[in-house]
Amino acid sequence: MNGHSPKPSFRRLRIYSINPDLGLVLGSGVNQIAMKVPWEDLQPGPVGECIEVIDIDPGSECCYEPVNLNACGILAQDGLTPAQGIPQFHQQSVYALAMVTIRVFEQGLGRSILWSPHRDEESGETFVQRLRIHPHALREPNAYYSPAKKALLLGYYSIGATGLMDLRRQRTAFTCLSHDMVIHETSHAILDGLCRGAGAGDSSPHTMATHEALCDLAGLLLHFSLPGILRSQANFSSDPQANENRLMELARNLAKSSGRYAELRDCIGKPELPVDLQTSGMPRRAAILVAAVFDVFLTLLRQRSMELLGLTRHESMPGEKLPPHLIDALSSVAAKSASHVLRMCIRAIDYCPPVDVNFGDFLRAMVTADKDVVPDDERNYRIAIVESFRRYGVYPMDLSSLSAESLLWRMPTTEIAFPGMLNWRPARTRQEEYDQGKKWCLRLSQWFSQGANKLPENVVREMGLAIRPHATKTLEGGADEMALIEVTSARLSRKTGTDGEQAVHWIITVSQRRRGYFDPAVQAAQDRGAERGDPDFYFLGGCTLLVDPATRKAKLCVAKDILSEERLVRARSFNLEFASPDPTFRERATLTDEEPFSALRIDASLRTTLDARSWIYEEDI
Amino acid sequence: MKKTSKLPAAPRKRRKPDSKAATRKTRVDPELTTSVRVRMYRHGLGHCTLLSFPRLGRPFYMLIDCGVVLGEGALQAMKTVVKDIHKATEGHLDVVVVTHSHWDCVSGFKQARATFDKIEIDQLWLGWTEDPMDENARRMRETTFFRPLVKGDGSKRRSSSEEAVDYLQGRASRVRYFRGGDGPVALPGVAGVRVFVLGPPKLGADLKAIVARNAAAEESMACPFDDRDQISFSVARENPAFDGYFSADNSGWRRIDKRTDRPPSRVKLDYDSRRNDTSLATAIELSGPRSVSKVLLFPGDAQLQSWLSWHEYRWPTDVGLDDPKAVTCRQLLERTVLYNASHHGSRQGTPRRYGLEMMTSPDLVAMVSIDEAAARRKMWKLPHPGVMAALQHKTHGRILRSDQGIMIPPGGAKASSDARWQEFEKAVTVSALYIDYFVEIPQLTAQEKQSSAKNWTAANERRIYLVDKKLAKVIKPEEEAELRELEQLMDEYLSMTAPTGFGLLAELRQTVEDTKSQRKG
Repeated sequence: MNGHSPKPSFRRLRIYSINPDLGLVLGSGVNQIAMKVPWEDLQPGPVGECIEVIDIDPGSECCYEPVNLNACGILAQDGLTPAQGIPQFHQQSVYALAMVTIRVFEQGLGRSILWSPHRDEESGETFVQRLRIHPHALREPNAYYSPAKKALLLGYYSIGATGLMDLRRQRTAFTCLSHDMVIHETSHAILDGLCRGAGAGDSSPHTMATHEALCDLAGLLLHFSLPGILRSQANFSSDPQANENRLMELARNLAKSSGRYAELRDCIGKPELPVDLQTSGMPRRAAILVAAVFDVFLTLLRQRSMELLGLTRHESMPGEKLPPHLIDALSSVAAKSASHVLRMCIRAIDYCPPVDVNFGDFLRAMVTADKDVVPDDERNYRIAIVESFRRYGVYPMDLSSLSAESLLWRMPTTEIAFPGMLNWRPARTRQEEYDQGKKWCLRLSQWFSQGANKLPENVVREMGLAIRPHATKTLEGGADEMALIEVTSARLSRKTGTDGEQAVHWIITVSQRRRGYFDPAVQAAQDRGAERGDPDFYFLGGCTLLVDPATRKAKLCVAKDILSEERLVRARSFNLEFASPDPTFRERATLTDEEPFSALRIDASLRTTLDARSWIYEEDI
Repeated sequence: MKKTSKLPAAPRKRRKPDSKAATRKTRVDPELTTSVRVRMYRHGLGHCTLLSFPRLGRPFYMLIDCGVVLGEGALQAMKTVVKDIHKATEGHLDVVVVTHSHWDCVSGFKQARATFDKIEIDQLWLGWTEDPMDENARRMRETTFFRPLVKGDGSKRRSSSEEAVDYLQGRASRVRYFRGGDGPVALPGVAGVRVFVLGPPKLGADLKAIVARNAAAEESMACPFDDRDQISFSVARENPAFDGYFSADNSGWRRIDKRTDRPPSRVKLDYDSRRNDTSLATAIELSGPRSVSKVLLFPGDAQLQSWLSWHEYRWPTDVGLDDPKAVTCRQLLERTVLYNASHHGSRQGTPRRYGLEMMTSPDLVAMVSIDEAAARRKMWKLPHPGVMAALQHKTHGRILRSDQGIMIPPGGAKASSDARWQEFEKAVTVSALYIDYFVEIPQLTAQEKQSSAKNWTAANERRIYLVDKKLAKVIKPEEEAELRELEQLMDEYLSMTAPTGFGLLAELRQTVEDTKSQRKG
């Protein structure tokens, strides 16, 4: 039997090509695509290896029968037929989208995705095998990742009563059918897993904006790279400029559905608008990064489509339709460009400092990561990146010249060598991989704490760390008055470039915590070693190390100095603002520790639920 | 802006140290016999207003909020302010009003606790949403949209602001909780002043609709799927397909089906900013007869949704002697002569149609507690330019700002020779620490005095007639009820419309002296 029934590599599942609730105009009448999702053994739910869809609807106080995607009738016809009124289709749809997102991230990062562990006072950290997805968890126009429950909570809400859309009667809209929402929230879950430890406590505005932008980009570019989406929506023509405009329009429309309309609409394709990255609000800042990366995508696409159009020498009259095979080719090139740019962004994550990531860092990370897997920049992608970012005013403050070469992260000036303790053997399950990573973190932490005194001062400083007794006294200590150096993650990553080039690294993040105080005078006193007072906030520093497994030497060290006064001042003013009692004052209004992501879309929900009374609100002063 | 007023400065400045004891007893600020003094402190971005109402003996002191948002020098400024409060009130506050428990309204009670410990507090006024005994307030706190802060060990933590309120509750001799539509409340011993409570909105009718309006919509929403697709929780528990969810022993933390497990809804998350809408908003009426009474409006940080609810109330008639109609919010707004701008002049704080546009008094003056420079440093758009422009228009430029004194109109000061403007300038005293604004209590005109006296005499005669009957024990039950009501109303009337004690005393003194001099002559 074995020979006759090979294990399939993909499962084909149908989804809507665009959420029908949005009322967006479709290029063609067909609103469904079949996606290829990596094959895995599925239980009803679907419950797979790393995600489980559990359809609990607390608002209606009921559950919905989990879909069995292995059922013969479903398997034979690429999953259930798209239908809004069938909860099982919703389950299938979120499963497919989440799986695709995970796959893209796994490919980009060169390792498997692990969810952030569950922390408990009693049992400490425990491994979380599966991310839960509740497609109908909320009765509000909101969707978010809950780090506390390790779950995506997606909402549904009634539209029609809003008076905003021209609908004859009230009906229900589902966020779980919006690709970008599901992808966005899955990305948040993935990032949460990547940045455990230091990242979890890192609430600097820059990091938040970078994460938000990354999730937005995943939503946007992954949506574009799904097969057939652009084919049906982009209406490609022989005019590259028109094509670009059309794509920008599509991106803005998607942004509209995720409630970031105002910000993204203002930013995508409009580099001339000056935006002060220091003072603008978080959604606005995130939108800038999205717009800059989207511009990279357009540049790539222009390059590739010009080649294609040049190749076919198709000279058409304006308004004339291109031959279908050319449209197919253009769509596929566009989809590939989108996925390529997204992968460049995802790769860059490992090249970012572990805390306080700003857009300049992200740009440098993108360029360096690309250099590592594609040493030869034949197509000038890196120049395209730098150009696009420059156009949107995103560049590192501390660099005088902007070229792809000068943006590369520098090699460490001192040699950072690790002992031969990272013995890698392939893990069979995610659990094993998690245990392995944890073991390494522990060993490295011990190595740091034991060897910290032996490490030369300049090596420690190179890593953005500080050790006592020379350093400030506000560093949080471990045992016997040592400044605690914590290794927050250690994973092996194998990234593959387009030319088959492989970059294999240990990715190790190291961090330190320092007590921060609102009053600079108090800070100074505490730094000198006054009697320990409760900190007003914690200030983080540390580095990301890329270690060559062969030599065990750090190839790259991206650090954020724990002793940096400038960063401390910024962190203080941010925390001061955050400490403001009245959240209507704050940029991060209504963000809570428990559900930090639930508020990111509040603007969206407010906009979509405007009722008669709120209109007065809008009109009022 | 230096002192623009010819009015005497605060008496404590002129007082000689040796005559302190003597002046304390008879200390009567001449302004305070006929005016209410509204003192807005200039301590930064926060609320702190001290009102002094004339009363026989010592004035009646009401403190509305005392707080400042964290910022440089805020702590010291707050301490200085509280010291001044201690000094100005001689260590005795008759009423402390906490509009809502946001840090910018209560920080002073923590930051300057040492000084507050020395101040006697008679009454504490809070919104009903702060009432620990109120079942609805408690339930809201725990379930729907109040988000209790949870400590690491799972116990609920009181925020700093809430702790400040706890402190006050412990200090005050009497704590009163108000809700929209309450009142009018008389101030003990103060004639002619009544307080109308506008907010926080009542639960069922307003607050639920306001704060949880979305939640209500959620509740009423039907299940989006066909009945046949629904599996009740009890059935699902038996279904092996849901084993992973319902029966896993250690994953209770991931559940979302129980109410307590349910993730905080947007509405709940939104609550903290909605706390502004739970502000104890008050309209203080300085009465004379209806047509000339003045209103001081202190909305706290109320936002639009709260403002809207005010218009749903009617307050009972005052005495029943001169006006049969109930008081409405519109009437109060129409008579507002001092508007303490809500929420530091933010866009959300002052609605146009249901707020500012209804304030039609030509005497309208606005007060804004704001530190624009500090706000700018934090990128807060306070005060909102649109609101300020509207206020400017409505008040003819008579705006008092805690950071500027009399507001400098954009485009430089315009020298106004307007009589109203001069009157306004005369009523303002600006010092480094505070801005004083004096609002005169309207006095009755001769004609009004006459007509009310006529009413009074008639009522009194009737009362005497009934009392006589009662003493003779021939009174009928319905007459007895009438008498009881009559006496109650007259009591109330007396406390509200009688001339101030100061006036009586002065008249009496004058008469005695006149008589003396006549005799001598």
